[in-house]
Amino acid sequence: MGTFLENLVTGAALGSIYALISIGMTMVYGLLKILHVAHAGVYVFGALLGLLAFRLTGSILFAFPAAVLGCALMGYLLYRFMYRRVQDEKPLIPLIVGIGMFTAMGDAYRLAAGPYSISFEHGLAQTGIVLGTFHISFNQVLVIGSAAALLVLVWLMVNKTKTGLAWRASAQDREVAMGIGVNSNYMFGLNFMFGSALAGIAGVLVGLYYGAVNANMGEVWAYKVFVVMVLGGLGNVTGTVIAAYLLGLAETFIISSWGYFLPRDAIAFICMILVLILMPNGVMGKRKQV
Amino acid sequence: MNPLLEIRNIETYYDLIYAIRGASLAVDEGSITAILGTNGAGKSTILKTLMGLIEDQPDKGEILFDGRRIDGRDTEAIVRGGIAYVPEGREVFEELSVRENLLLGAFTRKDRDGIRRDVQRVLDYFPVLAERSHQWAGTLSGGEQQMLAIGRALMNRPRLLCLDEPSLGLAPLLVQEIFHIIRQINAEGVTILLVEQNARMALAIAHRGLILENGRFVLAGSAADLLQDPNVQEFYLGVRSTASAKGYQRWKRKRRWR
Ligand SMILES: Nc1ncnc2c1ncn2[C@@H]1O[C@H](COP(=O)(O)OP(=O)(O)O)[C@@H](O)[C@H]1O
Ligand SMILES: [Mg+2]
Repeated sequence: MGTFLENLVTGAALGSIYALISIGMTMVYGLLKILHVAHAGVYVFGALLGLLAFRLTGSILFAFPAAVLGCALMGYLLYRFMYRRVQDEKPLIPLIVGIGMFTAMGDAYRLAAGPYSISFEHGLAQTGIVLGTFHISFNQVLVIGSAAALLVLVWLMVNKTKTGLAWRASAQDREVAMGIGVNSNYMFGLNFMFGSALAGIAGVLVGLYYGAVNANMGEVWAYKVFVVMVLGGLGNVTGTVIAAYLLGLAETFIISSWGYFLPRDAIAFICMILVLILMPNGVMGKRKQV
Repeated sequence: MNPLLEIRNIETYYDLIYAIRGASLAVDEGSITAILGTNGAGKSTILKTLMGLIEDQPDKGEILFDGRRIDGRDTEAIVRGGIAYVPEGREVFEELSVRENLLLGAFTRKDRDGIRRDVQRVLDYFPVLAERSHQWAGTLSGGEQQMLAIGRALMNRPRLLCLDEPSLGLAPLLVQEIFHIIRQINAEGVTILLVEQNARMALAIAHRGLILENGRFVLAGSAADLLQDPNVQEFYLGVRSTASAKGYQRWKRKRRWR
């Protein structure tokens, strides 16, 4: 029983991180039908900025706002000066722009931070809650709790604000939205800022959770976000969140029951291939986007 | 009095396709003006150019609304200036609720209370929409979707309402109802620019009409004059004249207009 609960918590923490990283990319896909590969680079930027702020101030409380502001700015600039120029081209062109950006960002991070893991230990990492044989770490509470709060924020933003309404309308039909006065390009810029800020927070959380950050930490995530997006039904935020938690839990339980019969990421991709074969439209079926 | 909308000799390209080839038009405040023409004549392109929806177009010419140049401005600014647009094909946001569709029509407005009152006004005006205000717009019938598209445009409190083929694909009774609504909106003081293929219906409610062919206006006049015009009768109203049995007649008569 203790193991089951611990797996549940570990899987939920992993799923929380998948969700926070994937939402931004999924929203961009829903709005612009662009595969924003460079999004994983934004996530690494958040982790590195968070670490820098932590090193400078000695408090993890400053890591989050630094990542949020830095990543929102980076997301805006990526849109304004890269994607916006190619958003009406064939999908392959923004995809290549994204791959190029992602590669360049990875090199820039390695130049700035070196190619090795850098410790991101904080004082509270060892604390936690123990109930008999059941143990939850502070980090797990932090990750699951902040993800839950942020998911509520995303839901409110998408469903209860004028900006969210404009996002949903533009995702369905950009030309009609523009025709009735929605300033779509501005709304897309805001969307990049919002999704990028979430990825930045995810970067800090991953750094704290694993006690280290690394200039290369985006590489595998870039592909795993694809898995989550595809499972969630490309562009569907609710589906993406569900897929993120399913994937986190599936990975954790499969590994805990059968061990590492394959590397963790191989298991994730096998899940994706199976779902694609069985449910080509993702776990939600074919339904609304953004 | 100056016209509310004045289009002066505009030319519009889609890349290399020369779609509008020098078109001028004046719409008087308070009137209903109809642009008639067959498929591909360029009717929708004129409205899209007016709304600033075709990037970097018009290539030539000027568009004045209330005496001010609006060509080259962002659509958002044009809409905020008081022009609302109902696109061709009942384009509602199918996966948004009726109410959300209406709220989007007020996107450039900031007056929360006024917007709330206007949602209610539109729902009172279209009781079928009121019953379904929380349903997805995609679940509405074709006629209801067209009413929603018009209601959404009214949420902008426009001075000029542009409608692109509101009768397209609707059953005759519904077409009548939609045209009745358009006339009523006009009676409440909104100037209307109506694009139609259904010339008979359009001229029945319009004050003025213009005939568009291949990107140029070939004929303009009061609705009554157009209804009497033999060319219009033959080619747009389907009234047969004795000579029209011969194929070349059509071509010859059309040429005369240019
Ligand atoms: N997006 C587009 N790209 C290229 N050509 C277009 C586009 N839209 C319309 N056209 C062309 O412009 C001409 C006018 O089209 P349109 O304004 O839609 O006509 P109408 O509304 O009168 O049926 C047609 O020849 C059409 O093929
Ligand atoms: Mg048309």
